[in-house]
Amino acid sequence: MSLTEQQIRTAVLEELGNVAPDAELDGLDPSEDLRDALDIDSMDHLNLMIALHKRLGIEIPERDYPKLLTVDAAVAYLLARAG
Amino acid sequence: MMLRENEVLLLWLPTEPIGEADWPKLRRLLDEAERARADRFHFERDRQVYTAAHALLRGTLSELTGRAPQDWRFEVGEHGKPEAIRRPGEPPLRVNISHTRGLAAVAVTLGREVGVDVEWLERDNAILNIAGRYFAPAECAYLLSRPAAEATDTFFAFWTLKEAYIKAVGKGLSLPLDAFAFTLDPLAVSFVPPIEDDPASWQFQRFRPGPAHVAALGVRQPAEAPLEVTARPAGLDALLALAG
Repeated sequence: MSLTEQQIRTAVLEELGNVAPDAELDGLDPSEDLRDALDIDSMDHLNLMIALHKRLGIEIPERDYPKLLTVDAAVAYLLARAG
Repeated sequence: MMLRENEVLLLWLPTEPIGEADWPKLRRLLDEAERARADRFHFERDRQVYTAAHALLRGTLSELTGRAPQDWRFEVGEHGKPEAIRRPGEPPLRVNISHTRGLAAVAVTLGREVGVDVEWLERDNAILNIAGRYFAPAECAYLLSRPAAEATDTFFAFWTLKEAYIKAVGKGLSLPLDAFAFTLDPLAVSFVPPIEDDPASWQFQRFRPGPAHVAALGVRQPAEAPLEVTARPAGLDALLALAG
């Protein structure tokens, strides 16, 4: 069964909460760069990529990492490659 | 403060000794966009270390040139790396900043590519996941060969060195982390395709700014002789004095 946009969005937000447990996700603008909004650094971002790959089973080549820097962009990228 | 042609300056600023009354002064060294950016952080400690890093950057540039801290503008270079815009007659200063929980740092050179990374050793982190997925095979093998008690320090040594290189060349997240590898003893780098670079043109150094922090510096060096590295804590009083 293929993943819905809502399932992917939920996964992105939950995994973001896991890599940045202190972050306040409620007020997060999904179009804002995570590095700006939450002070996510390179290591947090790599941890997020690992977690999303593991949870959703979607390959994310390293060269594409800059395409997953906002929640909306990550959801769109993953949706296009899901199922 | 003077910077010699063959010198690299690395300054670090711990946030813990910065008092409540100091923060508004450091904030005054930032420009308007940076103040707005600082205000967008959800957490005070993130706001503070961002403010410390940018105040340190601007204050250091000012101490080296005499130009006011708030006057500096930065442009994004061809690979997305911010560089200070110089005015006629000013030295070709190149800079890089880094911050982590509790510590900010700035590196400055005259015209050379430079990168710095600082990390807080106590951060929550699945180091073996990151190393296993992204590090070069030789780095992973070395990490796994170390006693468990040394694993965190060893991981962050590799990590900060890799970040320092990535930041020096300004290629950010798109550079494959396994296409260049460090050895720690002796400290050296090697490259494999797709990265085409010359190990002999790079100089790296590791630092321990405090019990909970590590740092690494990477700078492209001249062929003839290594650069002299001046690394020390920044003078908080001098920065505060710049705020007037």
